[in-house]
Amino acid sequence: MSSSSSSKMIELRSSDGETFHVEETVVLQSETIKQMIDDDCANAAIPLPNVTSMTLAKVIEYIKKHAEKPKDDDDKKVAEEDLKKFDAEFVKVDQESMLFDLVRAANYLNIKSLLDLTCQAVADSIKDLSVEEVRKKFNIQNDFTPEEEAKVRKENAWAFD
Amino acid sequence: MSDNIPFDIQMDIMNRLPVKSLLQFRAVSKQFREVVQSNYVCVVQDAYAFRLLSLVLLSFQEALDLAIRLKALDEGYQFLNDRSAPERVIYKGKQNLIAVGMDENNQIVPIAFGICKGETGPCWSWWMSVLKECIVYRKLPVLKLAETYRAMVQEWYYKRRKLAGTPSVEEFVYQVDNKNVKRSNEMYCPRLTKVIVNFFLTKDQSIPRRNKWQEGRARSDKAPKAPKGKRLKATSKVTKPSKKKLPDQGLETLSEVSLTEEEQMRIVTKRSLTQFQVHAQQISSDEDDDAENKNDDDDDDVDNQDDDGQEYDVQDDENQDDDNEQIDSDNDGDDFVHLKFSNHDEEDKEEDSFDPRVQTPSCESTDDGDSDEEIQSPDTGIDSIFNLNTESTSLVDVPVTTIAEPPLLSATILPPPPTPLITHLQLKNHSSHTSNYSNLLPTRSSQLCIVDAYLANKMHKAVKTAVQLQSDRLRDEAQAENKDFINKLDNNIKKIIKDQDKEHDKLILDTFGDTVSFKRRRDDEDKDKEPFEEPMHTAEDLEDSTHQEFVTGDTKDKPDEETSQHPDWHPPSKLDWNNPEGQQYPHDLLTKTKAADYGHIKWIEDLVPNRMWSQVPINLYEGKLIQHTPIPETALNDSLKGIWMKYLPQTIWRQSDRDKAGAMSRQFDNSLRPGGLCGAWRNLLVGDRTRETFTLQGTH
Repeated sequence: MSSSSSSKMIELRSSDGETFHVEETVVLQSETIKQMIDDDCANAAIPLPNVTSMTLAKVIEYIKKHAEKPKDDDDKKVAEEDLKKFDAEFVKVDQESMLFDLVRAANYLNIKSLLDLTCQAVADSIKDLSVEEVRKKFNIQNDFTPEEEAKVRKENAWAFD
Repeated sequence: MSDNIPFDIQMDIMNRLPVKSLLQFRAVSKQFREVVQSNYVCVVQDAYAFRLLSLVLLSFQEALDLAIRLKALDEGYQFLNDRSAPERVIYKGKQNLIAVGMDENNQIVPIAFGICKGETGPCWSWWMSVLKECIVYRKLPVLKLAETYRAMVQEWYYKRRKLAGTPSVEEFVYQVDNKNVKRSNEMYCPRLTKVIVNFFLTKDQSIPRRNKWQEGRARSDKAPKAPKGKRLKATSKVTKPSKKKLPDQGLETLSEVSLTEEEQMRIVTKRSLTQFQVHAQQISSDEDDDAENKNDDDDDDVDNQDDDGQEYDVQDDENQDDDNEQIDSDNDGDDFVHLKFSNHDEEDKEEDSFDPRVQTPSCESTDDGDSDEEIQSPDTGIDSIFNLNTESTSLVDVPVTTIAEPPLLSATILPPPPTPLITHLQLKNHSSHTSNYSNLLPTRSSQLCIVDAYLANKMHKAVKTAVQLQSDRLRDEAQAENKDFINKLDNNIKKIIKDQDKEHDKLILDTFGDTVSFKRRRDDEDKDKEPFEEPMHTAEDLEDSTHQEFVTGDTKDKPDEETSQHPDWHPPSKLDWNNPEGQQYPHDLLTKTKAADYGHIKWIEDLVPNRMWSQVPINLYEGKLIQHTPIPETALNDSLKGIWMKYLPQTIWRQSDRDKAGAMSRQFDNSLRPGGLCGAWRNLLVGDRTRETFTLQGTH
């Protein structure tokens, strides 16, 4: 389709059926959607079966914010600062699952900056956790035998303190 | 990590974790551990790659991070388990300069490495400048080093050369002694490579020697030198385990790994010796075999000797690494051992032959021989150590292993094909031996082996019956052919001896003389006792003894035969066998020796495809490319393949090194205090940033 009009709207439909209308210029940050548009697949609403409406809303919020372009250099600095603040706030989500959802959505939509941001956030959120907490948080089964785990821990005694 | 998140995202997240957390989380689950460790591998290999460079350029942050990660890798554990690990990682020899930091456990960790003449003022100032340079110019995330090291290295080299006022690399790089390398630009990188290699191998005497030797070769070959030496060692180690398979397979593997002509020569020499020995033995012990039998015996003996030879070869390879001897001398040593062995056997034999009439002992010895054979030839067991053991037993306890074998073999294999079955058997034996012999070894399927073994087992009974029927006739034939064969053998041996080196000559001739004397003595004895119609070499006892043994074989040896049948038996290689009369043997031997003579000085690596030695296309070393694609690339590639990993812990670090490293680390530790050397250094470099690095991740 012609993308001459900057106000052209792309319709995104989340997994739970909710639709979002986003400007094409904004949504182009997603490599996945960009590819779809390039392939002329974006005439109808683009289904995003992996993304819930809540997550999609967040993502759209993010890409909208990042789509803003500073007018001049002064503005740029301000905008950068602003963006940093926004990012910091953005990843302060209430639920852990939301962060993971964002990671997955960013991965699916292939939005690199968002992926970076969310991955970093996940990393930050787990870096100070104990092993047990990490297991709990990620819902991971401890598939080590006690001996194996002891061995691993022994190997890293200095890291475990 | 949860299943919902794709693996690459998991990796991404892991990469963002602090190292400490990462290491801790390995205990979360196996998958988690996998992720972490796969992460590490890349990193650590990079670390090794950088250690291969004479100068490692990392920012403090990167290097510290990297060093910590390095400690966590499997390879790193070896360092880690020892509490002085970080020191060991960083320091070796006084030509090595290091920059160290402290990790969160107040451990000294390496930041950057450099090689220079020593801890002199100029070197330190140069090192500081390098550090400063790398800190200023490099901001590469650790995990991306794999992709970018190439560019980094190139860039760095250009910079080094451009930098005026700072000492050049040549000035500080450790100069390899006695290396006549021109200082042309072309040789810049190769030199550096060598230096690096030398750095890592200074403790390993063998490698520099090898380098030296290789130096005589084409200039374009110079670059991969260092890796070659190392890899050679590696291959020799590879061949050793292969020995644990069937001897045939072992041989195969050896040839696959590419048996050097030298080795071939060695084996051939051994064979000739063995043959000779057998020859003498047969004369002296008066065993009555026809040429075929003899050949079979020879084959078997040779086969055993082959195994021994392989074993020796392996040892030799190792020894070559350790010794500074030339190949020839190695060969000599090898032969010498062998000669000793054979002499001993003959002596034992002599003792036995003192009582030629009593044949039961020989039967017993035959049993021993059988057991030995079982262990050695078929069973593949030829684990070198094991083989050594058997050998030693044969030397010490069991008197006449080699001697014992012939009667047994003659019993089983002797008959010239009365029945197709027997022919088949003979074929098998012959062909297998010849194939071993020629080292041309087509690949044999083990399945075929199994099937054939089964067949052979079934044929065995037929063979036994045939043996008895044919024995008389065979004896007659044997005596006639025996003479012929012996004469030919003598000629051939002489020729072979001519082909050998002078020292070889001496040794062989000595033995030759010994055996000749034995023979004569024995002949005399025999003649004294019971002169027989047999004129030349074979005294009448020969016939007598064999005859007796045959008799005993009927009564006693049958079970032995059965047991021995498997061990003795080798799968056929169909194409090789064409001379059932046994004359082929000396002939083959002769040609083999000649062929082997071409390649005294060949090493294993010469025969191995280039790719095994160098992962870098050859053209990188040619012409001007050398300047643009520094040789350290090769080293880096090598290290990325993990080649260095094995050697670093084993070869480099000694107690003295560790002491030095400890002292140096303590010195660094002390000087890390503000106002100390490193304090000033820190300020000089980047000020606060350095401080931040040193206290990275703090203590909690």
